[in-house]
Amino acid sequence: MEGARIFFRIPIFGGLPVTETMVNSWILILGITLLCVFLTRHLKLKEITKRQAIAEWAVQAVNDLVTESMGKAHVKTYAPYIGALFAFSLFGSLSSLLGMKPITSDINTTLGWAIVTFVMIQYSKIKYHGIKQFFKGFTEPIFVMTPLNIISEFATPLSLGFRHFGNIAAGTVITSLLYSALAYLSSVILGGIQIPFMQIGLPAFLSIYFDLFTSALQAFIFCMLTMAYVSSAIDD
Amino acid sequence: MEHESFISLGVWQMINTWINLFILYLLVKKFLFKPVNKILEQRKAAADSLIDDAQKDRDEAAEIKETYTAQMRQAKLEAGEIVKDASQKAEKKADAIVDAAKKQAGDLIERAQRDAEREKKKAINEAKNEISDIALQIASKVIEKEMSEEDHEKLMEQFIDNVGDESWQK
Repeated sequence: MEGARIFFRIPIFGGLPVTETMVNSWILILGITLLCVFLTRHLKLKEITKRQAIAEWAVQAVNDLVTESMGKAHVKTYAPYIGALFAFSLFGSLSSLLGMKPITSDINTTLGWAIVTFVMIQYSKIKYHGIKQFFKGFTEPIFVMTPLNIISEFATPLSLGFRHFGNIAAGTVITSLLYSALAYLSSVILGGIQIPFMQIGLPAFLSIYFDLFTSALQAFIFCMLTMAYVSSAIDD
Repeated sequence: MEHESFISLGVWQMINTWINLFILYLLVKKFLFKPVNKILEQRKAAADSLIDDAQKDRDEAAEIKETYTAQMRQAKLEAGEIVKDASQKAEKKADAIVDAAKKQAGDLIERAQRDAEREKKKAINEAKNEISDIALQIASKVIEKEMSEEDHEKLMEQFIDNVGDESWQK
């Protein structure tokens, strides 16, 4: 199993790679932005179009979700980020349906997002409780817990990043395993003739779980956990 | 084509992730959340002002109704008074007219009675004169020469005095 393709290397710092993940990310950014622009064209107060209804529903849903888990005061700040993250993650995983390599099956993507969450958590702790309380927090409830607290602090982004990566990458792996298994089964049935007819149909059902369900679920989980972590960092 | 390994971490790749996420965040904020939130707020404001206006209208209507009711009550009171006044005046006027009529009738009757009385007296006096003449003629014819002029006059006056008396009338 291989990772992202490297299209070419920028010849500085020993050749910076331009990977498939990066290119797909740019395509997704373009696509999501165009979708946003398309949905929010000619917004009206009354007699709204279907496009506007979808846009309003999406924004309202994210706003409600952020309000629910973080409180009304943080909606303005965090709702656009959570919305962008959710869209990036969801479409990034769903892009496998178009034959693209999902950007979320690259650990650099999911761990990168998780590190952003981690930074947000630390920033919120310092901002809302002061630098003194921030360092004191690691020694609670007793001083000997300090190493464990530090480990748990770093475990948060790691588990967040690897969970997302693992779910999507596993889907890719299992799907390709299934394909080769089905190809082998086909050749056995046909007595050595290489026509993988068994690959027709069956993988689609697996795809419903791995591509649609897991994509939506992981995007949702990633956003919910980010909000929960940051919210608890703000509160206590 | 060159591939990365299945799990490969790279600072450069991660920096790309962050830049991409940040760019998408800015774009989604600018092209989706800002305009839609704006329209949602506008709609909320419009709805709020609609509710406020409705409340204001209702208050105003209640106020108008109250003044109207008060005015109606006042008007009814005044109307009742006017009717009462008018009926009292009318009664008084009617009484006055009836009284005047009664008085006039009384006057008329009295005058008629007076006239009748006068006529009666006049008639009696005339009758007295005629009767005295007739009596004189009859008497003169009956007792011609047997009576002196003096006796004659006396008798006549006695007779005339008796005319119109109760005894005479019987």
